[in-house]
Amino acid sequence: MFALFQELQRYVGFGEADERALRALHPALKDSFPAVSEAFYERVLEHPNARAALTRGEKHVGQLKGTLVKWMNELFTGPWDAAYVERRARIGRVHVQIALPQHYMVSAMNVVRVQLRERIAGILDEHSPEGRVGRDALERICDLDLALMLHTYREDLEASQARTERLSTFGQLVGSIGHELRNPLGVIETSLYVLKMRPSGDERTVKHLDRIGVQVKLANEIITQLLNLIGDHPLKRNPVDLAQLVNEALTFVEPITPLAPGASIVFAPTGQPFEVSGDATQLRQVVVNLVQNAAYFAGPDGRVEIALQLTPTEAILTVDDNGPGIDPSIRNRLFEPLVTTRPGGIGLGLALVRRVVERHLGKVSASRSPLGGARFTVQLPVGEGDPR
Amino acid sequence: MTRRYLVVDDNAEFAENVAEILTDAGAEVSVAAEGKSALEQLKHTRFDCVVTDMKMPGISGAELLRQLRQFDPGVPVVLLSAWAQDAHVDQARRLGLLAILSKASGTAQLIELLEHARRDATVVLIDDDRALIENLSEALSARGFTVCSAATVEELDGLTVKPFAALVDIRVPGSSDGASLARVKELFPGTPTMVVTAYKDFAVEQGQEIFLKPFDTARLVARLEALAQRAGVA
Repeated sequence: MFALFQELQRYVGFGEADERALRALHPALKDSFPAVSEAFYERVLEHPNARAALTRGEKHVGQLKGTLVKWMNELFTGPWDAAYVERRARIGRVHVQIALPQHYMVSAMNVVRVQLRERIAGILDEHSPEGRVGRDALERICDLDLALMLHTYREDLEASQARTERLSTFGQLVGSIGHELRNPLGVIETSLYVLKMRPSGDERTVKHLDRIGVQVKLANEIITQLLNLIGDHPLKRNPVDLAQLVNEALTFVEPITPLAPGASIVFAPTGQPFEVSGDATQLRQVVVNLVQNAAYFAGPDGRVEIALQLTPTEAILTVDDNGPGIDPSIRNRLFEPLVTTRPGGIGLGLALVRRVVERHLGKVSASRSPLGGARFTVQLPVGEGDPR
Repeated sequence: MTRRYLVVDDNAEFAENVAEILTDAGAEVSVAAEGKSALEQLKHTRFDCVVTDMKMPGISGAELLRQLRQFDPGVPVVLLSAWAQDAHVDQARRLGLLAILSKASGTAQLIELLEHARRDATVVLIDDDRALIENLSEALSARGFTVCSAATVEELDGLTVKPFAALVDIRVPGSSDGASLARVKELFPGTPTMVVTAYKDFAVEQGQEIFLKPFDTARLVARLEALAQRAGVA
């Protein structure tokens, strides 16, 4: 990305003279930045689409204005280095995230440009050599910034479109595989039922029949999870005690992810109930998926800690591990489908977690754990809510 | 009296397994590998319940149900589908189903449903809340009732069932308050009709029985049971 920036610098002829000119303008200009920012948002928010996208993406326009002032300070003081490029690139990405079309970036940049041009004209005579140098420097740095934002915008948009396509093909595939697998599973399950109805005195026969039963259930459970992710099952809301739910979930984890001998999963409920309104089956899956991930990444001798907290408005579940922490390469896309760093993983676990939690009007986030690895936090509203 | 069941599935092993289990339990079971031959059998034999797969060569389980309802509105039907949600399943729900199950979800559950299935025990349910429909359907199927559900007033028009009771949300999308109730009374004259609603202050005519959301499901089921007895549902 920085290489691209350098190439663009050469292309628009942005050099040390421009850097000097911008820095020279900064002291006289900087006090007018808040007013420029005000004027900018006044203009931009006139447009209903932009207003909707901006207030959806970030609630506080005040915060946005502050960000723009900072942006202008950086524009005039640099340093125009790799970190600068990275910050500019982020703006393009945010536009994709909040679904603001890229032509808004072009016209918004023009609003800023015109505003700044006028302020510079107020300081320097535009026909003087300094005036011309200052204005040229402004035009060049604005062109560069815009080019960077548009470049990342396009990159991110292409990536997100590719993901959507992949997902839709994937969804169809999962649907038919799910159906086709349930046919043989149905036969196995019914045959098993017949065999179990014919009592056998042989202990090992009984043990292995039970084992087949457990595994069929498990396979069926996996199919359900896949279909849940692509389908839209209604929530069956009932009062759910999270403490009990975690205990239930833990009985599901072992058979699927056997723990290494030195590893431990710690959950010490306080005895107090943690009641939320929710779909027990789906919430249990949330816990199972989080704990499984934690147990996997914690590795041998690993430690997983599960804790519950209650605030007046939320029940908070945290799952900590002492593994290597979240791979920075997927940090931003952690909860998207098909994103995984687990060998053999298909990347549905956390996607399903997010989906279920959001349908319960809750939030899930990842951060650094005091244990050294990753922490996943699920916040679920308590009390009266309007479930979707 | 010996119960008679029909199992329709192109997966012969599955159909035969289910038949074997039901036969062991003392029932008489017929098997069909596809929808057309199933319909032939259904025209000539009175079954206590039909189990059909959704996805089959030829006509689908939903289409089988549609054609079946033309001449037998009251036979309970269990639909086996990997998908609880798709357009065909929604169509099937409107035609009246005892239950939707996924294969491999548990033979014991299927057997129990079949043993409790009751003929002509159809309840019409008009509500746009899918979760409520699914929860109520589950509670009612355990008592052998078939639920025929619609989310809008238009969807009501295709119904070919003969319900012994109707549950109606008076506020459904696409029509004015109360239109659903009026239409149900028109379509099923004389059928006991109860209102399920979240809006207490809605002016319903005197004597209209109301279940205010969130209502006690057990009480609703008990009420339907009493109505079924009165209607002479076995």
